[in-house]
Amino acid sequence: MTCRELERLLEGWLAETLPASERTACEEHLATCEACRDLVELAALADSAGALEASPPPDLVAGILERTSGATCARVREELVLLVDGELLGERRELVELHLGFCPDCRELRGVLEDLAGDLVLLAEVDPGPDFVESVLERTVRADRPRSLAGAEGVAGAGRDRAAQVTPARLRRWWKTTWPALVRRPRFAWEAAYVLALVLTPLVASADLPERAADLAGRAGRAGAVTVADVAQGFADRAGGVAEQAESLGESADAELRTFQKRVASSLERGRNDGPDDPDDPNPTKGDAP
Amino acid sequence: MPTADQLIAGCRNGDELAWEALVRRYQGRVFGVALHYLRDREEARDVAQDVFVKVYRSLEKVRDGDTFLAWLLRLTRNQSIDRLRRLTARRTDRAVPVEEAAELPDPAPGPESDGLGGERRRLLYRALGRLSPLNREMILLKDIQELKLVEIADLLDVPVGTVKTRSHRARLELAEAMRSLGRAASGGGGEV
Repeated sequence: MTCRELERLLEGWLAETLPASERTACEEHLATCEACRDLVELAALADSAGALEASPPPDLVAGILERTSGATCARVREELVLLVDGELLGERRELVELHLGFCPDCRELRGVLEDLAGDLVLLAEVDPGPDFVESVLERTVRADRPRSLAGAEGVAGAGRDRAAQVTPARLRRWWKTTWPALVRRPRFAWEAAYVLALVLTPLVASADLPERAADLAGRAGRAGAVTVADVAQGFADRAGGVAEQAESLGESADAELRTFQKRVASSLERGRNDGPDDPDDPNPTKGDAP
Repeated sequence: MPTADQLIAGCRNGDELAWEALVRRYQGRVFGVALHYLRDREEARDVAQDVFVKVYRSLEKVRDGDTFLAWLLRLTRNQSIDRLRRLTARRTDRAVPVEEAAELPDPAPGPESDGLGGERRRLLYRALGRLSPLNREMILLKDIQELKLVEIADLLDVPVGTVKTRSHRARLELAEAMRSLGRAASGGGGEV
C-alpha cells in the first residue's frame, strides 16, 4: 500500500468501516510509515475535538462563504421560482433545498412565493359593477338590433326608439365609437371623393354664375321699378279722386252754410218785427232760458 | 356550462343570450386587466365596455375558443394603453403625488368576496404597486391572467425566453415586496 492509498481510506479507517482486507493493509503500511502515523493521529484528534463541540458556530459557514465564493442566497433566489413551480429537478433541487434547510430568509421567501401562486389567480376577475352587462348589451345587442341580431320585425320599432332617444350622450358616444370606425374603413377615401365630386361639379359647371346673377338682379330691379311706378300712379289717381270728392263736399257745405246764414238772418229780422220766441233759434241765451 | 367555442358560435348566429353569457363570463377579467393598467374604476369600466363593443362589432374576426381569452386580453391591454396615453397627454400639467403613484388601489368591492382576506388583498395590491410597470405587467399576464408564455411573448413581441426570465424576476420581486410589507405590518421591522 502506498501513502496515497492510505489517505484515500483514511475516513473509513477512522470510522472503522473498512473491510478486513483493507484494514490489514492499512495496519501494515502504518507500521512502516511515520508520516502516515502522524496523519492518522492528527485526524483522530480533530475527530474527537469535533465530537466535543455540539455544533459549529452558526456564522461559520457564512463567514467562510463571504471570504470565498460569496453569499449564495442571491443564487438560490434565482432558482426559488423554479423550485416552487416544480421545475427544479435532481441534484440542483437537492442543493437548493440543502441551502433552505440552513437559511431562514430564503425559506421565508419560498413560503411567500408559494402563497402568491394561489393568491394572484384570485385577482384575475374584478367585479365591474352590477349594471355593467346591461350597459354593454345596451351598446351592442340593443343598439345594433336591426343590423345584426334582430329580424325585420324589429327594425322599425328599434329605429323609432333610437330616433326618440337621441341624446347628447348618445351623440358623443357615436362620435367616439362609430365615427372613427367609419373613417377607418378602406372605402372611406372613395366615398369622400365621390361626395366631393358631387358638390364640386355643379359649382365648376356654373362658373359664370355671378354674372348671371347680376343680370337677373338687374332685370328684377327694372321690373320692380315699373311695378312700383304703376302702383304709385294708381295711388296718385285715387288720391286725386278723393281730393275732388273732398272739394265737391266742401262746396256743398259752403252752400249749406250760406243757406243757413240767410235763414238765420231772415229769422232775426222776423223776430225783431213779430215777437220774442223762435223755435229755430240756435242761440237760447236771449229771453226765457229752460 | 357552454364552452367559449359554443358561445362564440352562438354569437355569430345572432343568439343574444349567447352574447350576454359571453359578456358575463369575461367581464371580470377584462375589467380587471383594464383596471390594472388604468388604476381608475371609471376609466377601466369605459375601456371594458369599449372592448366588448369592439368584440361585438367584429364577431366574424373573433378567434376560436382556445385562443379567445388571449385575444380578448390583448385587445383589452391595447385599449387600456391607448386610453392611458390619452389620459397622460391630458394630464401632463397635473403633478401626481408619489404616494398615489406607488400604491395600487384595491378595486375589490368587498373584503372577502373571493376567498382572499381583506388585509391580504390590500397587502398584495400595495406590493404590486411597488413593482416596475414592466414587472407588474408580467405578473398580470402570467400569474394573474395565467396566459401561456407563448401567448405573452406574442402579445409583447419578445422572445419566450425573455418572458420566462422577466416573469421569474417579477415574481421574486413581488415576493420580496410582500415579505417586506408583511414584516413592517407585523412590527417586525424591515423596509417599508
